[in-house]
Amino acid sequence: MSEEFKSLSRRGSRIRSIIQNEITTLLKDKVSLFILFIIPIAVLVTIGVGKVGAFTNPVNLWIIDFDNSTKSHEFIATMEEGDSITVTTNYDNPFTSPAQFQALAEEYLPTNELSAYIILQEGFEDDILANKSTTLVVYIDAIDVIAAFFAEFLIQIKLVDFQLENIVFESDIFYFPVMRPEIEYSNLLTIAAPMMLGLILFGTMTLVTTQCIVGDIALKRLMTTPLYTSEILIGKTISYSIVSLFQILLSLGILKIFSVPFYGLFLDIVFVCFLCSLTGITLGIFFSAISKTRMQSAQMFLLFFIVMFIFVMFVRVPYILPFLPVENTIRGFSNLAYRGLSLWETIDRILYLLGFSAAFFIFTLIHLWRKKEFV
Amino acid sequence: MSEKEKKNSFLKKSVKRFWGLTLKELQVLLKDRIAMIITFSIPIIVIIILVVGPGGIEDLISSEPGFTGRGAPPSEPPIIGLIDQDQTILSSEFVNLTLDYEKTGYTHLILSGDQNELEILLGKNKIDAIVIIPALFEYNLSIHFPAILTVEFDTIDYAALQNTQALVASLVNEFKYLHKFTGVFNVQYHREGLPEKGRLIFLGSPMFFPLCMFAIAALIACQTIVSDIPKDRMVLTPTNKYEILAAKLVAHQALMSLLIIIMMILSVSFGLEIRGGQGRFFTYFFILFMVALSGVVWGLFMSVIAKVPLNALQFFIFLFLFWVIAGFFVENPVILALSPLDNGEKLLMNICMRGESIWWNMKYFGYLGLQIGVLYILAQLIFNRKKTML
Repeated sequence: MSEEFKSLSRRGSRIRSIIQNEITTLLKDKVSLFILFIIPIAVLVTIGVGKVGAFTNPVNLWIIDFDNSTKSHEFIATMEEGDSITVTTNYDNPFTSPAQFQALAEEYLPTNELSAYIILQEGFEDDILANKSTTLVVYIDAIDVIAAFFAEFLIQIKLVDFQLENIVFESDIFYFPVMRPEIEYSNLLTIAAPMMLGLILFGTMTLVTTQCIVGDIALKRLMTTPLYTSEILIGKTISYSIVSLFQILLSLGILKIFSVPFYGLFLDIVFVCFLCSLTGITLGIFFSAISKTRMQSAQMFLLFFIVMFIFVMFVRVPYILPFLPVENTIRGFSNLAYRGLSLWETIDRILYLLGFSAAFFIFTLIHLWRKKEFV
Repeated sequence: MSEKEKKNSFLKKSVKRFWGLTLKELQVLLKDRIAMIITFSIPIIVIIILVVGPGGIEDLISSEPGFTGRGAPPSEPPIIGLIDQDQTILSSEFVNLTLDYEKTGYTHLILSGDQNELEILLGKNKIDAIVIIPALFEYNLSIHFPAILTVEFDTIDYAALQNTQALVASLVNEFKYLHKFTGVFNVQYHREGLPEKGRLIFLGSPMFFPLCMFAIAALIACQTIVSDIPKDRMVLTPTNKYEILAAKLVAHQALMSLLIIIMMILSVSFGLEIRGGQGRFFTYFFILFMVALSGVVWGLFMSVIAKVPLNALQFFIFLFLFWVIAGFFVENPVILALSPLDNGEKLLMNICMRGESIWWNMKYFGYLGLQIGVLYILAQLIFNRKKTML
């Protein structure tokens, strides 16, 4: 019993030495430290002072009026209200007929000059007055998906405005979206914080750790000592985890300065961020262990990062998403910070992050055990 | 030997050394086979995901405004909480239609009479939206008046929000279509500009192709000087630092050009529609070439300012993350003008997707060109001042 205790104590002591050594090496590299901490500052501050992008670009709308009636002019006047839509009509080009203007619109729709055009057909006023209903043809440039949705949304709002201003109604179903919860999005960072944190914490820690085994020349000599592979792995993981904690605190501090709401417990939020960094650390160490050169390891990081980024942002495949650390961090952070939920209520995300870290830790351990060069 | 002959001979030797260095650099790059396999697999995997990947933005673009059919069920069906406060024949028909949406895989439905219960679920991210059919729903519609639904969306989960909005719009439009509630405006929307096939790769390529090219180029190039130990011995030969840097640039760019060609052939054969005039393929290549060149020059710059290879990688991750994130969230035109990713995206989107003329978009080429020139000169100046080991 005493021998086992001594052995455990020696192992603990060796792991402590490795942690100390790793942290000292990291602290000596001033550029590394600078980069690790300047990334969150530069990225978060740049976004913190930014405006909300989608609402800064006005929609360029052309209206082709074949009716030229009181109602069609009222329609144009309603569309022109406010700054969100820039309206151009065939009346702005007096030498162009509506048909020529329509041909011009067809030509310009694929370009950035025009977001959408509306055709007010002949009989527009008669239809509204007699039948209380008219057909409205709207062409939208769909190449920029976000701009297309924004244009469509604004046109719908203006159509409702027209009905209210002119008191013309017909059987119809409207809904005015109510947004929940009512968070004051004072700056861009309030919207972007969950994704930013996920990308920054995961990205930086993964890339830094991709070099920790493949670039550690002294490691081979270290393996001739009584050190166990598991001790090295635990030591490296803990030392990078300690560094990541400082990065997390700095990032959360910047979020606080930019009034990002933290409705949940601060410690819970730190814990989820820490798990995100831990997934990056274990994955980075795994890449580092299986690579033969620094470049291979960095390339593996790039491949994983780009593929994960596409899945999270663009191609959302439900059965892949739970295994992506950034997706789980986004959801976990949102649940804790924005919804004010407890850790238990977001346990699924925590388990996914823990499982990911554990899996890659085990993979690395198995790989290092089997690695012949170390023996 | 005359002065002119001396000059010619010097130039000839210089060119010869330059080609020798370029070939050596290419050999070094291709020597690490696994790294090269990963490098070439990045764009291939990206293209495959964009070609076969379901869901995401594809769900959005397949949901037509107005009712022209439900389209394909979304890959992540939103969860809707529904309350019928009207309890009439028409309102129950709306509920039945929603149930039909659930049966066919467009949504998961939670029917409830308790708004508080649904709001708690919405707060916990267990549902994505609450739709309330108000009292007098049937009455208002029967007297040719609009009925107003209450729809509460969960705005925190922005990925689900887009799908949920599209679903509610589709549901309302189909109900109106079935009961001929045209409203004052029977709006016929036409979404123009998207190709019939390969929509996902068409929409994704302007964003992800420059991203891949820039990232790969910058990552490889950022190690090229800081990890090149033999270069310090080169100062003992007639080779000068101008030739070394130029050779590295050309070798890296040659590798990137090969990657661009592979990427183009693959994406076009998988159905990517490239628009523009007769020289559209060359224009497409040239845009990606410029983005890759910008990546190489950024990489060289990082490599000359880094003291150890790890530093260079850290500079890379800083640059990469900054530009990726800036592209999504930053609207400041000065910052965006500096971003190779944003310039590349705009050039591909405007010239090759929209078919705009190159002349209209010269400023983006200008931003890229200026950045490449300034960074290369800076890299050369720093490299010249850098002390070698010998």
